[in-house]
Amino acid sequence: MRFAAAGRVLILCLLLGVLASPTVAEDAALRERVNALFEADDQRRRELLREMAASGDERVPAVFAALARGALYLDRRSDDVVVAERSGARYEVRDVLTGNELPGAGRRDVRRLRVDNRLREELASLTALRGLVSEDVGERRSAVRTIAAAPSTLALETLRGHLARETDASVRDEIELTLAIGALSGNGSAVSDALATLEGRSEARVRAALTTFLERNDLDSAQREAAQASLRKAQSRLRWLARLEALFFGLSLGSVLLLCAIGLSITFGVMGVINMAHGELIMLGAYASWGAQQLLPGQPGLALLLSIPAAFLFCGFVGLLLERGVIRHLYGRPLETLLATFGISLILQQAVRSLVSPLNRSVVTPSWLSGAWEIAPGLALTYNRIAILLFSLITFALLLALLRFTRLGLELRAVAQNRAMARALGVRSGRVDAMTFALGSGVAGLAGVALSQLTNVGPNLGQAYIIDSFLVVVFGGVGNLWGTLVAAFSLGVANKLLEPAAGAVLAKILLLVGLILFLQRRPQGLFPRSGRQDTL
Amino acid sequence: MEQGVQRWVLAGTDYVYPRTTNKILQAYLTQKGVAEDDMLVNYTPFGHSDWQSIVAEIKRFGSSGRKTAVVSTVNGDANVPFYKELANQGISAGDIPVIAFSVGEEELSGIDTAPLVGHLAAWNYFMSVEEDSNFDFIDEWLAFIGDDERVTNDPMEAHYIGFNMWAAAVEAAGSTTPDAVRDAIIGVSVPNLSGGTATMLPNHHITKPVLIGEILDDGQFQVVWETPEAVAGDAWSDYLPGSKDLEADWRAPRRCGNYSRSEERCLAGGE
Repeated sequence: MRFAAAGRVLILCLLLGVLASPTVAEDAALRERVNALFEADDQRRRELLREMAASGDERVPAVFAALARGALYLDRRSDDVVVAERSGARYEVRDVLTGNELPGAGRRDVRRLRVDNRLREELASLTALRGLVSEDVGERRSAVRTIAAAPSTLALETLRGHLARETDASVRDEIELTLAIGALSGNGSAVSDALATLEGRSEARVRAALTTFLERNDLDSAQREAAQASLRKAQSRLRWLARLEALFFGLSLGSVLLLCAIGLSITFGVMGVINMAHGELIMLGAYASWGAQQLLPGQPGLALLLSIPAAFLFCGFVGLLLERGVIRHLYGRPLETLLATFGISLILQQAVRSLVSPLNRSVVTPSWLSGAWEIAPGLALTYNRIAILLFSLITFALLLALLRFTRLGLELRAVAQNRAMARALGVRSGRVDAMTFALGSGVAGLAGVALSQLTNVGPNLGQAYIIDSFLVVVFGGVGNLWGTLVAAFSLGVANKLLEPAAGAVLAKILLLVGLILFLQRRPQGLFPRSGRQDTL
Repeated sequence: MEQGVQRWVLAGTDYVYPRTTNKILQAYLTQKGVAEDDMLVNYTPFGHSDWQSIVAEIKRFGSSGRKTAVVSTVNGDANVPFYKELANQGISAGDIPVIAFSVGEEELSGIDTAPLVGHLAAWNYFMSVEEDSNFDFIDEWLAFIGDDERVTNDPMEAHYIGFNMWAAAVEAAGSTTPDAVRDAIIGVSVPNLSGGTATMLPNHHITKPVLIGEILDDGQFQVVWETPEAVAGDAWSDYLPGSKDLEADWRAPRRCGNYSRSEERCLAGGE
């Protein structure tokens, strides 16, 4: 292993020039190139970048990174290119090579170096050449992928050289694929070899390359047929994967619906309170995760985890206040409850608008929740959706356990079934009501944390989900947690299966019409409560 | 087109502005030789938050081997989940760029911009325009609002121009009565904030430069393309059969917002 590593370093040296500590001459040369970037046109700029990459200077990757994120500026006072970060109306300026702090600049003193997508791709590709010799398999794989996205002749040559030394099978596979795609634009036996390698592969870039390949008019029939067969195979495979994908999308939508509706299922289903402010409790939960990220800057992941209990407690407390302050005076008067909670929802929205901001707040997605898990080429599930699916199921299981195995759960069920009898047996129904409402509100807070990873955190967040939540609860059967689960997932999947064919707008309408018809036949929903019911 | 884009996704919120824009765009693209199969039009309800299937569809549409771009007229809150889903499904601005018509600096200030870097927006002004008149405006605005983190955006520039034009017209007319100002305002030129001037045309539209910017990590735009000079605003599209024939001219004596050239009369709204 050590020899392999040493070999890699050696090759890096040969590849990128001999590494040495920066001398004065090198310093001047690098600085000159960086400074020339500002004036250069696209063509010249590309050359400069290549020269810089080839020089093998250790400071080049940092310069590239700064350029890629648009942090390189021309300082008009010294005519040097510098690294600058804006803070408020001023810019903090640093030397591009040494990182030494320079006098701060105003808006007028700096001009940003133009950077666009093409340049960014070029930079990534040049940086990736270094990643190829990394010890870490993941880094090597992503380096190959970056090169594959914008392959230059130089990069392909380097890949070919690297292939023989690559030990990891999956990285080898990626490289072979990239080389085969590159070879498609060539001639003769290289093309046939490439076609053989690409046979049956369903990666997007393979299909793209084959489609472009088929547009060439100098192909012989064998090559053409091979490419077409390969494409057909990939497409039929993809059709299946697309169905699986739609199923996952449905489950994911269902999990969001479940999270939103499950708190309502307790307050509305078990207690019979029509809580129009449920959406705003979700919104407050989302703001709790924003608040946690503000308190713990730089650690979005930890803040998000901590915001799960924080949002639960905070929203539970708000719920408790609502129940004790308003709702308990309105038991048995559903219409007035509806109006009062609707009013509360408006008050909460406006409070957030006035106290926080009418604008959306940005909640950062931690790196371990961004990206996708690629199960097979053409089928990738995004991490945030998977996490929310699991989170909703865990929440559901915990809630179910709480209702079944704890004293509060027992009392809650007793009060829901027969309030008078429960009171006669010594259950303090007022306290149970308060705790139940707080529990439902706390679960709404959990939904808010999950939603902060999917959508805008703003004062209107709750509005978008309240109707769907009621829909799920009514469809599933009022007062039945399992019903809510089944309803949420079946609505989610049905929506996602309809969407590709009918479009997002029509799919929703169709679903609503279907639901209304269903409720006409079965007003009690999917799983009606059995046995005697007292109205609360 | 210049970037070699051959397939187009026109994604919009389901209401009049995106539907009209997309109608014009479709007519334009068809005229430029883009086949029906190479356009995917998609509408979503306001505040749409579950973009999984649509993004997956865009991904499939874009994996045909030809460069694909999305023209987004998605409005307001639906944008954030849209961009997040794009990033999570691994679509970068390099693969399938999204050009938006209604995402500006103010909208970006409430968003985690990391997944958006490199996507595009078309406006007539960006805060990042490096002109002295713009720097003056920004400094005045920041001093007025007392918050250095606030941003300026295109609608603000539109008001800056609009108010200055009105003031110039009032001075020219010597009165603030609407009719007098209306007659005086046509032909008035005032400086805009991107180093040029805006002129009021007879159709009550003004001349503006068109800028296309790429989103940067700090919520600002990098101008990557601009029209060489200010573009004259058109009241009626030249690409739609219904409006090709119409023109607006508010000068006396015609004074008509939808004058039909073939019928040689004002259809409605004239005096």
